[in-house]
Amino acid sequence: MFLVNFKQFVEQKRTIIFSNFSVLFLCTADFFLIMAVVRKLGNIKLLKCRPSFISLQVCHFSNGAGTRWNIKKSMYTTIGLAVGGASALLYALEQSVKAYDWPLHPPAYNWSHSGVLDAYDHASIRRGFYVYKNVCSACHSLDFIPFRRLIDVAFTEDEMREIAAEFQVCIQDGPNEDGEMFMRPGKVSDYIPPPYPNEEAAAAANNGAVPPDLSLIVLGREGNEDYIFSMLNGYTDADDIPAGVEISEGAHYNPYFTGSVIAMAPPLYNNVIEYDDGTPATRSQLTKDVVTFLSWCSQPEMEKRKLWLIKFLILIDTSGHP
Amino acid sequence: MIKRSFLYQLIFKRTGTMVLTAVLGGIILETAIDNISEAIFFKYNKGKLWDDIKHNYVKDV
Ligand code: HEC
Repeated sequence: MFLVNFKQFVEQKRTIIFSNFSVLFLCTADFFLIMAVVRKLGNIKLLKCRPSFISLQVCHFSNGAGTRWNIKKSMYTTIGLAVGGASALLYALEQSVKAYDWPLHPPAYNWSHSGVLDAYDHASIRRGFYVYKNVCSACHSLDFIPFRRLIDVAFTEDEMREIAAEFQVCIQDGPNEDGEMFMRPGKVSDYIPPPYPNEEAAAAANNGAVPPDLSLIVLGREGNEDYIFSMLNGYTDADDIPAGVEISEGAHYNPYFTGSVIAMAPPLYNNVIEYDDGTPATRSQLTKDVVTFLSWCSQPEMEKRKLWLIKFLILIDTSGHP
Repeated sequence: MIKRSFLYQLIFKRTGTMVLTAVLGGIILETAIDNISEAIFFKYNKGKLWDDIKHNYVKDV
């Protein structure tokens, strides 16, 4: 159990580290490009080294410490090669471990927010919230998202007030000035209320399986959005289940889920809800929208990050100095 | 010689004007970069952002 969790953790961190690396690489490459351009423009008087400075440098390197420098250099090269080789080996070993991982791997979909500069499709976030509210919220909590966070992202403040009040008609608050707890309707400052008071209640209502919190689920599963989309759309009809697979009462066959037998009933069907913007509510549309919404829940700062990338590149470009 | 240059006489000679220039320059540069990058981002993502779909939902008084 611990190992599985640890592996998932590493997997998740690896995607995050790699995506950050690619951005870092881009920035570094950009920086070197600017440096090269500036070097080429070296005729500009201001950027030229004065001769005295160059000869000073030459003196510094030929003052008899030559051999030591060479030994040091070969040492660094060896260490570099060893570390590089070891990490390549580790990476290769880690990759081959996947051979006995037998769930179906999801295809890579082209999400409206997957490009380096792409923002979320906010109309889709809005529809996805309706899907969560009307379908998933019966079983899944969304503990880290307060209602107010959706204001000016997918809803106006007035709309959100209404939604919060009808999401939970009664919520315990207090104490008031008499020291008593009282009931009130939900407010925009509340976090989205969970469907079950605790895990035991959740398990008891779902054949012993606990529906996980969805706030960070997109980052918490290998394959991220692609996995959630494929899993939600990947249920197999009772007739098509491979021979020899035992499906107990209340379980379902889903080749994308680790172990292939999942306790969640297929949640989405064509027209299970109606959209207020007139988009046809087919199953794949519902799924795409709820996954976009859950992706936003996992990383509401994504757009700011992408905006900062542009700022960073402009800043590096304007201050490029060799 | 740089010493006699116009910029030197005007700005770099006194610490006060130097600091003032640095602060003002910082503010101007930051505002400019903010505006440019936001313009790029909004143009690139036109139609997807909340500002582009808000008019469907805001009730005009
Ligand atoms: C009837 C209750 C129910 C509803 C409604 C429901 N789920 Fe689930 N869900 C579950 C249960 C139970 C599990 C745990 C399954 C397991 O561990 O076998 C689960 C698991 C999941 C998982 C985790 C799968 C994994 O890889 O561990 C995701 C993601 C998920 N649900 C998404 C959704 C979404 C999105 C919706 C709304 C469209 C939804 N669920 C609606 C009961 C529900």
